[in-house]
Amino acid sequence: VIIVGNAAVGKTCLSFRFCCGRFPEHTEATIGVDFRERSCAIENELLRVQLWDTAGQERYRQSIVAHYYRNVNAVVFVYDVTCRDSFNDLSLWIKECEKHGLVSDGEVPRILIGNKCDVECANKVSTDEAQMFADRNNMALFETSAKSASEADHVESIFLTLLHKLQQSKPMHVQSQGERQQKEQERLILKANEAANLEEQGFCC
Amino acid sequence: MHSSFSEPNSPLKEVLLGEKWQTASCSDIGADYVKPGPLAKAKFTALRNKREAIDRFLKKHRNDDLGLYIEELRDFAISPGGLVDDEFRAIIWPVLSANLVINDDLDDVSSSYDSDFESAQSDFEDSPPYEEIGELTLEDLKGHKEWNQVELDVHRTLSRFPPNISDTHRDILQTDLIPLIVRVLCINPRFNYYQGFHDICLTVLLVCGQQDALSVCSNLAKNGAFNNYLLKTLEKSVVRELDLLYVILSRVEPSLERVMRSVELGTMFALSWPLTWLSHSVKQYQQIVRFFDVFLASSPLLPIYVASAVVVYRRPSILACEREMPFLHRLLTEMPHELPIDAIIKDAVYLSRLMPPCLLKTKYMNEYRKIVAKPPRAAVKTIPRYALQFMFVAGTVGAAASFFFFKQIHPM
Repeated sequence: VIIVGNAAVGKTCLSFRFCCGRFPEHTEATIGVDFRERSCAIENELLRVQLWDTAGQERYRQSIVAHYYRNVNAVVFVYDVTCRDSFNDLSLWIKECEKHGLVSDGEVPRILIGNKCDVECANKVSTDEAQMFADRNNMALFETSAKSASEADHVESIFLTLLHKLQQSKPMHVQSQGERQQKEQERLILKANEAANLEEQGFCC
Repeated sequence: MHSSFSEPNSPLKEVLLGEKWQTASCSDIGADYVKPGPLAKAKFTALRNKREAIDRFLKKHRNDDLGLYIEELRDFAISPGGLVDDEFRAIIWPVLSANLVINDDLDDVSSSYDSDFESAQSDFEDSPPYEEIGELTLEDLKGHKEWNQVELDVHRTLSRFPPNISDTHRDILQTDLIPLIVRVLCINPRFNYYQGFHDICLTVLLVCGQQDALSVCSNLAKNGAFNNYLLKTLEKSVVRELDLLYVILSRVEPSLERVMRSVELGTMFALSWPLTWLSHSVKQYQQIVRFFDVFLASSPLLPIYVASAVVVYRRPSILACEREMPFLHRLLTEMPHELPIDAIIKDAVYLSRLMPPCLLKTKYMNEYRKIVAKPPRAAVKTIPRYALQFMFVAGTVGAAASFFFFKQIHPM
C-alpha cells in the first residue's frame, strides 16, 4: 500500500497510527520514503500489510517516489481537511498514479482520507465536496483524524476496509510476487494467533 | 550520557539568559560520565587533549585571519573527535564554510557522466550574480514561494532539538530558522528548496547562532554540495551521487552489493544522508555535529563515502535480514543508535583516497555498469575486505592511540 498526498497532511501520522497504534509524538518531514508494516488477520487469512509512507513535497514526487509505485496493491490518497490546497492537489496525485498504471477502473483499490477532521477551521473542505470528488474518481471517502483518540478505531477500520477490498480483488496473488507471498502467508499463519493477540491491544509486532 | 561532551552553544546566550550558555564541555565532565574501562578512559583523555590543542591553537591565532590556517583547521575537523566542542565549532565552521573543498575534478557528478548536455549547459547559466541577501525584509521573505513549505517543515523539527534547550528558547530558534532558510533561498532565484535543507540550516543555527548561520548556510548553498541539490532536480543531483554508493560497494564488499542489487533495493534508503548530511537519520546531536565537522572540511562527495562506510559497517545485519526490498530498506533507513563514528569517518576518508571522486565517476562507474550488464561473475579486482575491517578495528581500538600521537605533535 502506498500513501500519497501533499506535504504535512498527516501521511506519516496516519500510517503510524495504523501500524503502531498511537499518534507519534513528534514527526518530521519525510525525506524520500519510509516503510512500515503490520500483520492483520482478515477472514482467517493473515495479511502482511506493507505501508510506504512517502514524502509530500513536489520535488520528491517524480522518480523518487515513483520508484515505489511498482508492485503496489492499493493507494491511499490523503488530504488535510483544513487545507484547501492539499485537496485541490489531489487531482495531481491521481494523475501521478495513473502515470504509473494505477487507474481508477483497475484492480488496484484506491481510497481517499481527509485527515485532521478534529481541527476546527473556518475554511474546511466540506464533506459533500469531498464526497463528490471521491465519487467522480471511483474512490471511497473517509474523514478522520490520526491524532484524536476517539478516531483511533476509525483509522483502524478504514485500513481494514481497504484490506477487505484488497482481499476480494486479490491482485497480489496473481502478480509476479504472488508465489512468494503465498509461501510467506503459510509461514505467517503459524504466527497468526500471536499476531491477533497483539492486534487486540492495538500494537504492531 | 557519553554523548554530551558539549551542548549547543546557542545564539540566545546573550539575548535570553544574559549569561554564558552552559556548555558541558568534556573538561567539565566528571568521572561518572565516562564508562569504566581503559578504552573509554583513553578516549576521554584523548578528547580532552584534543580540546586543549584546539584551544591553544585558537588562542595563538586569536588576531590572525583563520582562513590562512585552513589546513590545520581541516585536520582538527577530520581527525578523531572532530572539533570536540560547540564553542570551537562556532568559531571554526564559518572559516571552513568560507573555504569549502571544491570537487577536485572541476565538474560535478551529474554532468561528468551525463551524456545529455542539458545539465552541463545549465551549469553555465548557474552563475548569475548572487543577490545581496542582507537587505530583504521579513515581508519580502514571507512573499517567497517556498515560505509556506519551509514553515511547515520547521514546525515539525521538535525532535531535532537537543534536550537541554528550553521550550521558549526552542520557539525562538524555530522562529529565527524560517527567515534564515528563506534568506538563503533568496540568494539565487533558481534555488528550489527541498525538504531536508531545513535540517542543515537548523544544525548550523544551533551551533553558530543566527548571524554566522546565515553566512555559513549561504556558503554551503553557493559552493557546497547543496548547490546542486538546490539547483537541479534531485534525480539529476543526489540520486546520481547515490548511484556511486553501489560502485564503491562493488569494489569493497561485492557480496553485499550483490545482495542489495538482487532485491532491487535502490538508493532511496540513503536519500536523506547526503541531503541532510545525516542530520535527519542520526538521532544524537553530538554525532550530527561531528559529521558536519568532517563534511565542512572535505570534498562534497564525502557523504557518499560515509554512506558506503555505514552500509559496510552494517554488513552483518544486512546479511541477516530478510532478502526483500522493504525490509532491507527499513533496516538501513534506521540508523543504529550507537554508531562508531570515528571509525566510520576514518573508513570513509580512506575510501575516498582509495577511489577518488574523479575515478569513481568515470572509470569505476563504467566498470560497474559492465558488471551490472552481464550478471554472471565479474572480474573486477576488489579491495581485500580485511583492509577495511582492519580500519574498523583500528578505528575503535586505535582512536585513542592516534590522540596520543596527536598530543605528541602538539606538546602542551
